[in-house]
Amino acid sequence: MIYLDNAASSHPKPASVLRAVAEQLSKNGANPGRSGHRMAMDASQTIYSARKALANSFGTEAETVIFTMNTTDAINRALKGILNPGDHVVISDLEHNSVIRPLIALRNRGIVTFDVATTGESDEETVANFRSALRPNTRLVFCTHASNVTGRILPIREIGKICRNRGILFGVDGAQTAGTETYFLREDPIDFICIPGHKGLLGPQGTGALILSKPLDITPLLEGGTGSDSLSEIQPNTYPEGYESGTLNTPGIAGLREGVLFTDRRREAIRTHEAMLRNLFIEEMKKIPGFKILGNSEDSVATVSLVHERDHSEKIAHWLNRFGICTRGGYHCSALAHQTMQTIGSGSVRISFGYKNTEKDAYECVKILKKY
Amino acid sequence: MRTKCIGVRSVTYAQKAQDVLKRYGIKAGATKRSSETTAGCGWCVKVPYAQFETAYTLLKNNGVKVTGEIYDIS
Repeated sequence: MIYLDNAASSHPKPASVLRAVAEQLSKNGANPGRSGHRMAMDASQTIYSARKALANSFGTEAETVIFTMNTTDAINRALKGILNPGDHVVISDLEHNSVIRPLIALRNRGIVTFDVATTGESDEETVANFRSALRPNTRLVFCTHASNVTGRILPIREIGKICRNRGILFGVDGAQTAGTETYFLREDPIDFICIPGHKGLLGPQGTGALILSKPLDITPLLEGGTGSDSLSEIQPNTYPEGYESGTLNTPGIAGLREGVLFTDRRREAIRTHEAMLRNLFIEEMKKIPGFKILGNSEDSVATVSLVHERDHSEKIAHWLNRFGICTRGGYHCSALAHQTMQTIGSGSVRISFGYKNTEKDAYECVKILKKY
Repeated sequence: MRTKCIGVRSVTYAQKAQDVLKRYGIKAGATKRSSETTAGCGWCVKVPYAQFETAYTLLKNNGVKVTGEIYDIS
């Protein structure tokens, strides 16, 4: 089996991640942040260590790391917690359904309006399009750092600078970049980033985070137990627990910590390796007639989308699966990006490389596609 | 050993407080507060009685949100 679906979820995970999850499950089932006994305090320490690891990795403070189930969860908590009636939002035309669907739901309830800024041929054009989409009531600009369809990286820091100059909040979807791209939220013009634990950070599924540069006045999406102020019927607004009601996924978070430490130590090597595989794959695919590479941008994560001149992408993904190659066909939960790429009807076959893939994996995939 | 407890907003702040104080060589421990002293569950950091004032100042200067509740533990 050759796994080339790392943009959906990374595989395999480092041994340290597997060990941490197993150890937490087998040695400590206590609930973190609730009781005061030793096991509970040890579980709390596990959570805190993971918060610190993420805070160090993203250049912020431990208390502004809010654990979530995944990126979608983080985005929903941010959008629904920050936006108020009358607010306007600007997003890119490459956003995932995790962005467009909550925004459409908020718009249908009469709470917000939003505009879609077109990504241009160049970064300058993209930034200019974001600038012209702003309105006097724009409260938030939210933008993916890299498209989950084409892998294209967007100029988030330039867009963020415009927002900062105008007092507009700027949020980033780091679903495809957390683990491979570098962030330093204390200095970057980014107010918050929504990340998965289970993709580039190589942690377990069911983990993610909403990470802020500093505490913002967010309305919690979930109210309930926080392990503090238990006699109060009012949800505390304490960071981070006020935004994490309910028991956390301690084994998953223990694994995520190890994934963060693993990728922090190897970020440049992983990025270089994955970029090499992507470039190799693209060069080989250019030699095969019948396939088009979608939105091939030089500044990109290790994701490539292919479109066949005749057949639907799902058919190609099924073909690859018959030969033990795991890729993803269809629309990748990103109708907006496929509208932008004009691939509604065919979708695309997405090949996404991970740190464990080899040149042999890339050549094997090309070899099978050549036979199609 | 006689200690003082400095109340903080959450278990995360209790652990952050412990980290900060250890960095400055003050032996500190994140712990759950007695419900008798709070409006429900709460958290604090235990510090040696003699170092309380230094610890309190360090926490405030290092971004740890303290609740202002301080009490003795013997």
